[in-house]
Amino acid sequence: MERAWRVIPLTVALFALAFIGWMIRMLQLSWVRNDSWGFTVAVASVVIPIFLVYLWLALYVLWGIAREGQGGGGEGRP
Amino acid sequence: MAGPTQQRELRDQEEAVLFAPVLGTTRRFWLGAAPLLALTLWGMYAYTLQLRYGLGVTGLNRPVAWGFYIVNFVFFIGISHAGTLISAILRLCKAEWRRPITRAAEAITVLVLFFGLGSIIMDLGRPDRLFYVLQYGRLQSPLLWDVTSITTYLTGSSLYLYLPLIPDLALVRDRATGWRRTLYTFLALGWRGTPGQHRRLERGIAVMAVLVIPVAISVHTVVSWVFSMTLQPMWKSTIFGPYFVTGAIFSGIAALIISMAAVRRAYRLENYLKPVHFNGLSLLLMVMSLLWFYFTFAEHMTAYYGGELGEAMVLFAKVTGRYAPEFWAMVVLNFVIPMAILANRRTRTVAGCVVASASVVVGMWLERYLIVVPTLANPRLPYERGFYAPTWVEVSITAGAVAFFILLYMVFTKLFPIISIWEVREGREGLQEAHERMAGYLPGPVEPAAPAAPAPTAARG
Amino acid sequence: MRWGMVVDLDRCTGCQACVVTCKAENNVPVVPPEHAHAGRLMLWMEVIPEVEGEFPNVRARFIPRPCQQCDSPPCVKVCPVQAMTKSPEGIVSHVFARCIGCRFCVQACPYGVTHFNWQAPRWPGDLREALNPDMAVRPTGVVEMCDFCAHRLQHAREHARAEGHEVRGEGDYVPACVQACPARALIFGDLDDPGTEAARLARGPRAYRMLEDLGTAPKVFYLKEG
Repeated sequence: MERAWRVIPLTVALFALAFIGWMIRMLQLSWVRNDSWGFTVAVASVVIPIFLVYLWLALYVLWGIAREGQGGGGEGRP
Repeated sequence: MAGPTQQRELRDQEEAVLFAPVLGTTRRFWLGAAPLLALTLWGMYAYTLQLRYGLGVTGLNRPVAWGFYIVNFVFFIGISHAGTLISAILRLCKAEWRRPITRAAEAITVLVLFFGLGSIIMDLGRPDRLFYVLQYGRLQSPLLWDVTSITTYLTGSSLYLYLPLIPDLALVRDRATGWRRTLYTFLALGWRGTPGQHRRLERGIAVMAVLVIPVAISVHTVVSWVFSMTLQPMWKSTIFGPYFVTGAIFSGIAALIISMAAVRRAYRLENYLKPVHFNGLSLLLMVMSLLWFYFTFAEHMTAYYGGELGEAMVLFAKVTGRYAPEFWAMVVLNFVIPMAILANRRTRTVAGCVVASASVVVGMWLERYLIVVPTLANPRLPYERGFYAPTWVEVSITAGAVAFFILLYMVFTKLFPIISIWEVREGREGLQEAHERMAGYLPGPVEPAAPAAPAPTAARG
Repeated sequence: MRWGMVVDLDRCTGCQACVVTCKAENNVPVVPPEHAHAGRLMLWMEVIPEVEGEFPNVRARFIPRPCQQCDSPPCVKVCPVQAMTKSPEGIVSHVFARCIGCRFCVQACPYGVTHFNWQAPRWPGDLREALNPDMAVRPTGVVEMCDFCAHRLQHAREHARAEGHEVRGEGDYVPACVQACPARALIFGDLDDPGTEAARLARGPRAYRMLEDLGTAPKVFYLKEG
């Protein structure tokens, strides 16, 4: 329960990494099969940066907020 | 002028209506949810029949191998553009009237995207092989572009819903008891409103507001490219991208207006969702109606003038032939009725907006239908003409999906405040700042604020 | 080497022997009558009657339509899971084990040659005994289409290897429909080999292809009536 605050930021970060991993797998598959390389590179070069932004969001914003919320208990007024 | 404590008491009294749905449930809610649940279960039953007996239980055939499910897919993904426009664009334009609307819009987006995905999964002949798309996907296929783009959008809009929800979750956490308190404590990420947290949050929201716009535009563009990348008559059109995005925003705003009116009525939010908000949204709806008409006219006029045989067959099937009733109904529902109601200030009331929006929602579904079916029923090779009549399975599944979406939305309003409480507060506290900003648009230097505006941190403390 | 077919419309009598043979050779399922009327007939090779004019000045023409085996196949482009492939010899075929049944290929094909299994396939009565062991039986929910009897090409390769030569552009391998046609209206062979009859006819003045201006480059040539 102590570590519960990590769940949400880590889930988002892992999802972003998983998607980037999937894109890399798509790049590998299309290279090996020699099938739609151009399309794969084009799509990957757009979505991988987007998911890197999501990763940043998970780590800087969500993790940051949660970690700051830990010091001094969970009570407080927004 | 009331002292701070009294001000806070007044504010709490006013805001009680925003917390009420989250903190308790009336019997009316269950009465409303029950028929929706029944319809949902009926739709699920119809789907189990399809799983058992194959897609033969639908009205699909050769050449019309795509029907209701693909129409629903495009329709639901279209509605998901509600959140982006209102939330992101209005936020970037610093339009103050978006404050009570953003949460509802973002919620629609996230929920309806699941139904878009669900619709296309339902259309597969082998849903058990769904993961082949991930394992063996080819990015030359527009369906893979769909998968990529919709996943990106779903992730982005979930984050974009969640981030501004955090301060509200903290507010509800402090008022909730029992299991709800645990849930909100978990979700609120220990929000305490410190300057550091605010800085991070606002940075995150600002970045997402910018990012989610091109992502959203890409979503419906690639959905349109599923059609326009083929060689079929009246599908192979270069303007499908912008046409679909326009239609999506159009249907999204309409869905948003209806949902806003519904929660306004159900939870007595007349103080927060005022006629001015509906006015703003319905003016946008009017603009989108005109844009939609422009694109539709251009599409059909081009096909008519050139008279290319394959396209002419589809065009005449739509305008004067077998699909003429649906086509003209679509034009009336999407253009004539909304413009008639919304162009006139006297009819542009909340009720008028809802009628216009309902008309648009039905009209836009018809528009998707008219894009998919007439082309398939009139293939280029002149040797066969197709026909399509949906069976009760498809109609039930469609009805079940709509009912389930409404149900999930209702559940959302029970779990989370449907109006962004902290943003409305921020709006009130930032009035001076907003005033100064607007004064800055006028000639001459900006006069400094008269009474000192309270420092942002203290106001949020 | 590019396998192509030439259809001599002057010779086709509309007997549909090619249709029946194709169904038998490729284990194409039979559909119940109500499905047939609802547009769910499964005919990989279909003979389309084209009737012009009014009685008594009627002109009827029969157009056998297999998969056009395009060199730039839209079905291959749009398949999300690489269940449609084009071999180096130009044979466009379908992989039933990979197909997810999205029917994008059905929509992308301008000729309408892709068929979908709307239900579990059945072969009533004795038809079960006549199933061809060389050809897969498809499950429900997947697409299928003519592949110029590619399983016969497999056989031909094995024979040729046993005899110590390559598969020849003419004679070693023909699809079932070509073999069955009693009027010899279907000619099959390597289009890249100028010596084969198929290549010669495909270059001739009577030859045309369906929807040629779409750019799909089909490898089925039709010979106009002379």
